[in-house]
Amino acid sequence: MPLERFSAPGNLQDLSPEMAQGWSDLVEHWLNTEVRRLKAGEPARPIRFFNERASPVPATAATAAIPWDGFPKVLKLTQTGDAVWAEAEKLRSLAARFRGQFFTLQNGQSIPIDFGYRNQDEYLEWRITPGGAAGQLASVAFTCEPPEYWQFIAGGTRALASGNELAQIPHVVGGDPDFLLTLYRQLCGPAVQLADLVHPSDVFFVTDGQPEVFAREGEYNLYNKWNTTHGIVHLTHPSNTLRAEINLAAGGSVLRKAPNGSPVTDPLRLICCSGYGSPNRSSDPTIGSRVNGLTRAGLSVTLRDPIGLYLNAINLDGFEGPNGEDVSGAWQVRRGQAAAGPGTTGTIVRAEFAPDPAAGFRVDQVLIGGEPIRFGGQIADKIGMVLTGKAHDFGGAAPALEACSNHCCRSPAHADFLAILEPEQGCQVLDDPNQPTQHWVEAFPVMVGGPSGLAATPPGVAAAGGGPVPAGLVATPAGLARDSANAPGAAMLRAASRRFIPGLSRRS
Amino acid sequence: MSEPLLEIDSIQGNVLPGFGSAAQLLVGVTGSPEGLRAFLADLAPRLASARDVLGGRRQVRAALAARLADPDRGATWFNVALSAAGLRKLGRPDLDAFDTAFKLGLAARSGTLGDPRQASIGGLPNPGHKSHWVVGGPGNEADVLVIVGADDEPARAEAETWLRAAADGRATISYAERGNARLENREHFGFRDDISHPGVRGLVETNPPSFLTTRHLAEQLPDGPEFGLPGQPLVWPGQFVLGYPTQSQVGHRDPGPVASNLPAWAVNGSFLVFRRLQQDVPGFVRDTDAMAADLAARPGWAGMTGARLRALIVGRWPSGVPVGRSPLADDPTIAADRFALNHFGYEKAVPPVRLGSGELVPSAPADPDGLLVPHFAHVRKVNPRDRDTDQGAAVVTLSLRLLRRGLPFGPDYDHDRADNPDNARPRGLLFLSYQASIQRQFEVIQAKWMNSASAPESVAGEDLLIGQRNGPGGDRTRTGFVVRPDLQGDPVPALQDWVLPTGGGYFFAPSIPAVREMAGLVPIRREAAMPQLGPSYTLRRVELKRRVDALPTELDEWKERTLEEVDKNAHFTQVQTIDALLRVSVDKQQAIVSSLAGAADAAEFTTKSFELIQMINRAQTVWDYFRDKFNLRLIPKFASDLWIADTIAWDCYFTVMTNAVIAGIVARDKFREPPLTFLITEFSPYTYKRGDALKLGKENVALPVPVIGLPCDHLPNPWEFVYLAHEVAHDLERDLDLLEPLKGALAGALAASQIPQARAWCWTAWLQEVFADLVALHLCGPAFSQGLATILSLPADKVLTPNPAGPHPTHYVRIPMNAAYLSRMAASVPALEADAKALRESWVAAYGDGGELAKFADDFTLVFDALMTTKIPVFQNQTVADLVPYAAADDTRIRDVADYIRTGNNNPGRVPPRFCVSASRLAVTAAASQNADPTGLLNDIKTRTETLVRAGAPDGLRSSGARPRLEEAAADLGL
Repeated sequence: MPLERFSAPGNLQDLSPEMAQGWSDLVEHWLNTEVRRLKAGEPARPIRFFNERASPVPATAATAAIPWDGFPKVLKLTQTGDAVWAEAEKLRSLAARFRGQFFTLQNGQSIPIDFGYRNQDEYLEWRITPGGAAGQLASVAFTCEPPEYWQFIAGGTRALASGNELAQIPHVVGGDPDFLLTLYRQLCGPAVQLADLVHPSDVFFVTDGQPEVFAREGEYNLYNKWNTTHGIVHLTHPSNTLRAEINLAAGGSVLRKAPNGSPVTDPLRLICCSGYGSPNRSSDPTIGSRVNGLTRAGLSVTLRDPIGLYLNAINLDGFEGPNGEDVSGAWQVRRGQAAAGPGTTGTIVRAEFAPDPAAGFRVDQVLIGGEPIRFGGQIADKIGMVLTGKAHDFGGAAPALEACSNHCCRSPAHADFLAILEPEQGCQVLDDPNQPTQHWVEAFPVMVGGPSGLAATPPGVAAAGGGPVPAGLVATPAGLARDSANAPGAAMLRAASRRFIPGLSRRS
Repeated sequence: MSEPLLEIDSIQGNVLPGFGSAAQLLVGVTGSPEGLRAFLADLAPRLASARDVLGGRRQVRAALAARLADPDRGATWFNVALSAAGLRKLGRPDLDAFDTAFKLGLAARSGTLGDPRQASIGGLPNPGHKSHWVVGGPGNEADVLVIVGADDEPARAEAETWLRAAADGRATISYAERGNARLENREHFGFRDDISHPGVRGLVETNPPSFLTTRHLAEQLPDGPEFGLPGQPLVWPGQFVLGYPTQSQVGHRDPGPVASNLPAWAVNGSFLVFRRLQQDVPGFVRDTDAMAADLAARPGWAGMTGARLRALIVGRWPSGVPVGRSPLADDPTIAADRFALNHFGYEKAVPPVRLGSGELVPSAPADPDGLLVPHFAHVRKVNPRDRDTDQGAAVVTLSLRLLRRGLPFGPDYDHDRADNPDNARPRGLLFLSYQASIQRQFEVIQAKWMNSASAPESVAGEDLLIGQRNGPGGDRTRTGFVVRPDLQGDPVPALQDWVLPTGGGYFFAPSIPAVREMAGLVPIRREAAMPQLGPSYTLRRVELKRRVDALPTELDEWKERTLEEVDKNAHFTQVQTIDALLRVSVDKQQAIVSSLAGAADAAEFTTKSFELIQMINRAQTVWDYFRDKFNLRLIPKFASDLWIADTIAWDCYFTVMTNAVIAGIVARDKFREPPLTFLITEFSPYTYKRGDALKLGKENVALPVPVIGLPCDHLPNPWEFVYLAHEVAHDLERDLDLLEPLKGALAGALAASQIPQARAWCWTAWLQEVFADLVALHLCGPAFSQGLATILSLPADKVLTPNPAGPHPTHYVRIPMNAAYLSRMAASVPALEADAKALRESWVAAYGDGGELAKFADDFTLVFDALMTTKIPVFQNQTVADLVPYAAADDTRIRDVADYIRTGNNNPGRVPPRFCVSASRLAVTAAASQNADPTGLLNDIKTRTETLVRAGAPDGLRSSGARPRLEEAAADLGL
């Protein structure tokens, strides 16, 4: 039976019937976009990713729940001690992340501004509400609501689709700022004003000599104070988006081959080869590789409705009050649904850990395995995330193995930290000019056709790659711009900017 | 990275390689600091090191290989571990870097492990609740755990007697329990244990090299883990013993970092988890029989038996045969192949592998969906092998592995005589595991995997065997899902626990020297325990010395050989600088070679020698890059053309730098060697500036000397070299640190202007190329713009395609911009106006009026002012134009020279080389108006140009004469 429509994340019933249809059409458009991208202009090209509304599957179609840890793996890799937790709770600069500068124009003057996002990149974000005194914690709120859903509520279809795209979407609906405000007040309290939630003037972003409009006056501000410094409503990390999930599933469905022709199956090599998501997480490599495993088995894949990345469950084992009290009542699902029972998954999109005031203790007095809670991350570490894929065998020709579209480099500071680059970018574009002896190196030389020498390439030695870009008299006839600035970070930005910066549309 | 030498005299023997004894004794001791210290002082000399146990194990192996009867090993081994409280009592309060779980202890962590919350059930004490534990509950924790491994009961009894005597009057023995290997290593439920272990990387001997874990495979698979035995992946030792490289979370075969924040005494130590797991044997059989009967009644599961369900729960048949290899019944033929028992994966089918002995281990099927081995099966839960998990890619699982050293306790259950009084006694497993982090290894496997209904692989239920669960109201039901061929899961609920934790503790097993020190004994000097490096290392050091010497030797020979053939004046400073910089590196290399003689062990030697080889590579790479370019000068044809190019580049560079030094803008030592030209096979020339980082082969190196690549097909037409002025301008921008001031000047001007933002941003992106064009016009006059127009005469679509991202301006804009600048220069040199006009008109004739692109012309003045006539504070308030004046006299001179070059009349004598090439370009442009076949004329122009350049070339060495600060420069270059 065909799917009637794509539901809101977590089956939330916030939207009016008209907006619900608009959301469904938008999600379908994103799926279709991925399908088109995979088809690469050849309608007959076999692919293994589908839009369930266009290609119905039986109700018994297999599903695959893919779990991952909610706490950021990258912090466990790169930090030690309490810094693991503390780093997760600092707001990070969006400008710094993309190596550029935001500014607004006022009276012809450019005023630098910035936005903060949470340093939590496993599609789960949280924020603590402090208690009355230093060190006291009143509650911790968790969300995995995608930013797009809130952009949609605020600005409708147009907030998320460009002019050309709008023509492909049957029901283009407007936003409902009043309802946005109502929801925000429900979640953050009555002090929220609509003016708090929107950009007061145009915002520009400039990097690498390439400025763009980031947001227009009056548009919804994803990083507004009620979703950052004063509250939490939805995901803010630039990688934590619904489109990233869809892209990940679509990207994972592409079968890849190494330069030597062998299929790429190792999760990290695959993510580096395909260039979806981030290799430094628990989530993305696993999601992409699971999807790839299904496609290798001949199945076509999609994401199960309601499409979303969900808080599946929390493991409250070892949580207890200061006198051994049961604290399970402190965990409250606010939006979405907890798992119905064994063998099912939760579709929770918002939850809070907040002991009942009558219980007589605060969050910071709760112990986990004997350790007092001092950071929200200690709770996040007990949270399992999940997304559910759907697979069906439509038959048809198997797609050909495709060559890699990207590659990875390893950090000199943390050898387990990887960055995905475009094929023509050598690892040295990531080098810090202030650290002349510290070099990023090819993570998997065999994946870029590196030479197989007498000995295996030892860590710390890169395989051959393109040199830096020289300053030339003119651009080459092919029109390829050569970057005489040789700016480190420019490449990183371009690589990162391909990963769907909400509110920022950039060339790829 | 080569594998480290393990300090096997320091590491306790049950950590590595493990006692492997059939009889074990665990003794828990508590006491005062003084009492414990005295007890340890007696025990310390008896502690068995890894070397002791390895000797014993190899002896056993040799005896078995010789088909002797079970040899009398005669060894009774003692090892020791301390709780956090025990360490503090013994004067080790510095536990900050130890993980929180260890510091809190097992009793405090019991909740997070999912252990039962109810202290009593139905009014009876719950033995699984920590308050009733045999050992390790609150107030019942051991400070010290002694582990004894013995061959038999008499030896073990003797050891216990000795221990009790050693503790007598000093400390209290609060717990003592015996573990015994059961027949075929089967645990009490009847399943063969002790099959799957990681292989620990590392050397135990260096001369000859000998690995702790023997590599038995004839050939490793191309990627994924490297294996010792089939199914025994090699893991870096820091995952189990502190102070060694840990396992990478990216590359199966790569090392990760060595934990750096540990106190020195913790090195060679390992964390120990002890869990006393009590097993309910009849309950397990009874319940699983009932569950199987229930399942058999459901569609798709007819014929399900208790035995088969138990195998699904464990993931292996009692014989140890993995269920994936034999889904329906145990198979004694597979069981007889000890390698097949562990050679399998889940994500992918494993291919057959051949052992070094020639034996072939058969392939095993893939099972990603859990059709054969459910995702909740115990062996799959604790080691998902090649599957990616909730913790990330499959490689992460390697860093979660444990070294298991446990044995069963208690009497066998008598299935034949249910009323056997022994059946009422407790039995189970004394689970012991060593790891580098309890929190990041053991606790992850227990709490995040075994206890989870949705990890590590999917939502398939808890580990029914050992997983713990606390549902609402103390509900301990765990539910596994067995998978039907249509991939739908059927629930199999286990209503009660068959395995309950009834004691244990978190401990740290220090190195033997650390135990001695805690016991107040004279610490063993590390050096004394180390084997001396043998003659093979002396040889290796001498070999490395010869490799280090190869570069300076070659440099000397090269300079000697080329003395006559390469223009010494032209390249002396370049060669000298490169040579001197490389010798800074060589000096450092020599120092490392010398230090190798003092290397304490093989690990230090290999680490240092690897660092050395990398330095050699980097230095050789730099030389290789420049040697190639210098050697072009050994080919007479190229030598001449490149000399011309070098000379023009030098003239451009020299002119500006000299002015900059005179104006006090730069110090003399910043006036360095000029760019070196070389040949390329590209459409357009380019430069790499001084300090640009290049990826050369496998090395990133920064260039000590700038280089300019010339398209080799341009050599017949030397007037093309007018573009050298543009490339040198790039190099000047770098050497004069002009980029930031220029950016500032332009940004300021744009901000204050009414220029639309989109165009302003373009100018920002184009800054460096615009600057290079303008400087080139100052250096060479209108000839540069003519040369540029020739190169840019491309198909219209390429010329008209906007390039807002830079770095080069949109082609169309560039020529009018050059023309506009010429007009501006014409204020002092009127003749330029005609050139500007001609240029502009020919461009519009070819490409039209440019449409929107023409609007950039509105901005020219502002941009020219910003870049060329802004007074730059760090420039002593001079402008760029001040440094490269183009005077009327210069213009006249160039035009006169052009006439000579075209006609051969009125030889002008000595002319600056850049003017020669400028004149040459003008001569060629003028020749277009002549109708005759230009071939001969162009030949003449070439000859006269070259002759003039040679005549006008400045004499002497090409530098300011100041030596660069070499140490600094070498460091900048990473040499």
